Amino acid sequence: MGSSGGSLATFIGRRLLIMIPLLILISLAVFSLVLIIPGDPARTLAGGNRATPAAIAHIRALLHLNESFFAQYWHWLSGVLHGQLGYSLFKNQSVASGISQRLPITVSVAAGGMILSILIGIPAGIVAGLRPRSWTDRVVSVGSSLGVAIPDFWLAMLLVVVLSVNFHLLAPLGYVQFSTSPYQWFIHLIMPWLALGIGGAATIARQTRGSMIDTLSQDYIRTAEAKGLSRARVIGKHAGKNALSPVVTLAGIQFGYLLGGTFIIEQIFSLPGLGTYMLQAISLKDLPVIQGVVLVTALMFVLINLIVDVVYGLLNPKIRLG
Amino acid sequence: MLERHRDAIQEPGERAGGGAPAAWRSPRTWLAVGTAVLSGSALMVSGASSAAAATGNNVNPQGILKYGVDLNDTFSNTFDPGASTDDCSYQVYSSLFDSLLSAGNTAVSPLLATSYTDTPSSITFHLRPGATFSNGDPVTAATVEASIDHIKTSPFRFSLTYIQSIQQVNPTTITFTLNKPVAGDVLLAMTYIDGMQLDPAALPTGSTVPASSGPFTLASYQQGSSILVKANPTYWGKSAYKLGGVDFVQVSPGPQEVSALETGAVDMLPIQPEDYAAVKALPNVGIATTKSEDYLVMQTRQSGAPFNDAKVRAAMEYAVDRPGINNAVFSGLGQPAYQPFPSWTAGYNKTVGTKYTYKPAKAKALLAAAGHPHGVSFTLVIPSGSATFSRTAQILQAELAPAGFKMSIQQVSPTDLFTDVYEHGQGDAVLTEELTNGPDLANNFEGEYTGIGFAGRELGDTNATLTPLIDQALASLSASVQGPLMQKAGAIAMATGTEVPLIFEPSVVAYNKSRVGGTVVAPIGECRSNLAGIYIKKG
Repeated sequence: MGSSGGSLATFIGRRLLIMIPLLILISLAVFSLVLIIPGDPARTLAGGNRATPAAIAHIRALLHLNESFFAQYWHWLSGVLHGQLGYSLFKNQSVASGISQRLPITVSVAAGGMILSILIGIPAGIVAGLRPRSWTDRVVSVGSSLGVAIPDFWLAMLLVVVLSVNFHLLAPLGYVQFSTSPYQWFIHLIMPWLALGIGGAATIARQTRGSMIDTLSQDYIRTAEAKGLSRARVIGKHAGKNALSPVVTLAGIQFGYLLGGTFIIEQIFSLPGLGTYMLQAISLKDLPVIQGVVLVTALMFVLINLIVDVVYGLLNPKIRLG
Repeated sequence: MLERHRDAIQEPGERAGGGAPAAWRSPRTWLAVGTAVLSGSALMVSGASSAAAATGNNVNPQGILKYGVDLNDTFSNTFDPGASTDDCSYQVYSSLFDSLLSAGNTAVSPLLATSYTDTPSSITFHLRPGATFSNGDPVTAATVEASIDHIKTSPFRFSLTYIQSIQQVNPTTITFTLNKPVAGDVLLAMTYIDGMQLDPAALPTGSTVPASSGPFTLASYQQGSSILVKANPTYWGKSAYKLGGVDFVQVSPGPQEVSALETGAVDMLPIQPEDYAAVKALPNVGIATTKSEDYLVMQTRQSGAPFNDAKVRAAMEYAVDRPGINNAVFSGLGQPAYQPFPSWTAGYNKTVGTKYTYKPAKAKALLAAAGHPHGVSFTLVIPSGSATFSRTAQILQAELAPAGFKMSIQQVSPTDLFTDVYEHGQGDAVLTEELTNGPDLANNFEGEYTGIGFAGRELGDTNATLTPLIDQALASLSASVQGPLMQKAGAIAMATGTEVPLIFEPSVVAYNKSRVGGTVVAPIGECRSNLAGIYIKKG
């Protein structure tokens, strides 16, 4: 037990060490956005087409825009290391404040979509995998093919038309804070969750089905059945754990995908999350916000990958030795 | 649309109504007026009184109007107008803060100033006696000076730089001395964010807890989601407002605007031309349209070929079928812009009239005379992400072809227009908008074609013959002063092909008829709202 716990700690420590150069690379890549994004925020801030060259130069100096790339990078990185992501050029608030207000909304949309994906995808995949080529398998296969093929944004608009416009069941847009009304919070997020979760569920169902079929054809499953274990025990104890290992990896990737997907979904449902914040920042060339959101999103991806690795390591001790 | 390209001074405010009564158009000094003539409420009183009386018992005094707006794109995330970085914040600010004056399409009208007298280089305002901020502090000459001093720190409030000094004559009288004879310009600014009145005592917390000088006070704010304002019980003109409050609700642009209206998620929202047909087909949805001086215009780069040739530019004026664009893009709701000023303004030149109708054969002949018998090619830059611009450009492309103009279209992010088109010289022409002149007919031309003009500076479109006319016109807002000058300016602009005006864009709002009562009047342009005179129905 002790050695198992120790090897897990070593495994996590090793993963954390690998993250350090990765985070440095990410920060450099994020800051390099300065170089590739066109436009001149200094001019806009100085009054647009009325801006005088002196005013533009003044703002450029204030924002360190006239310094070298690495000097600007250092300014930015030292701020980041102190938890300061800069100040939005157009929104009269710090980037950290803007992100902290919007991140919970994005995470709640993505997490809800993820939970829905798992709740639908895994049972559907298991049912299909247990009876390959049965009518249930075919229903799941066709359904998951459709789920994968339908773009999130299109599904979102379809849901609005059907559930809001035609049947008046759900609000077509807007967000209510959980603290204001948990019920309204839930009601307003059902469609975003569905729009995000159905595609994810389809992917997970396909993976689970394939994995389950593979696992059930293994010798140790036949051995377990030959020993007289019940079908439920064979599936629950032996097949399930192995079949779901790749699904964990997929779920991690899927969560990252859902985080990205929320950027469009938020726009369609007028949710004030990171996505709308980011899209607006891109259109305004609000560089500190763009950098901040990209950095936070990248950190979330890294964190999710770490969690996936740890969970995978728990499920499969061989991985820890790699 | 092209919001980031907007010029602060090109944005006169409008509290309500499409225009002020004719009696207010010419006098440069008003008599003090009572609360009943609160800006556009005059229109409400005259035009909608019978309807209001008929439905008077149907008013829900606590009713909250859900007003759809893209807060993410248009609100500066501060309730301090002096810190605003987006002129579209005016839409929300105007519910919280009164300016000194209010602007209609053709005249300004009283708000916190009941009257003014002006010379080209000075303006004296007489303030509304008894007006207070929502915290009870009185609006006085001292608070006006403090407001101006605070707001002029913003680089976006260019017109305030013309104020050289301020004298408090007495608590209700204040005089601005200007450093140039541009009283018209400053008067227009006093209808907008520049002239909004803030309580100096509340400035330290003004970005989050403002003291209101307008018809509503801030009740709650959820960033990117909702701004709830409620009726200001101390407002001097509260009788003109029947709403219990307004919830400015986030609606992202796109098809969701229509579904938001259809499902009742919002009661009212401004709509884009491309949505007009879909919204019109909705049962229980009303549409109000107001004429506007905002116009869609093509500017050409006159510092280089082919538009450095006046004959080529003249050909262009005849190569555009303006009614065709109006019908296809604006559902016929706009007005063809055969010259820079619409027919209902003092700047309209009857001699020019509709001279520049679509004559492709004549345009082709002019091109041939300019040495281009086989036509000319050019690139039109348009801001991306706007169906209105995209559709207009495609129609233009088809219309120009018979005249010999081979136009290619290049889309550029709206925020890159400054750098790409104006600084880096991308494209030969640009499709843009001139946003509301309001009562200052000289405003757009000043901002574009004079020595300090933007198109003049960046595209080489300075027109020296226009400059003295504009300079004279800026001295006053009087239609009798500005009208003849700008008629001449408009004629010169068309004759020299300084710009190619296309369509005077309509301002359109859609509303839920079962919820919203009273007379709905669309504001005179973008980023505004008219909240006076409308109410939420009982039940």
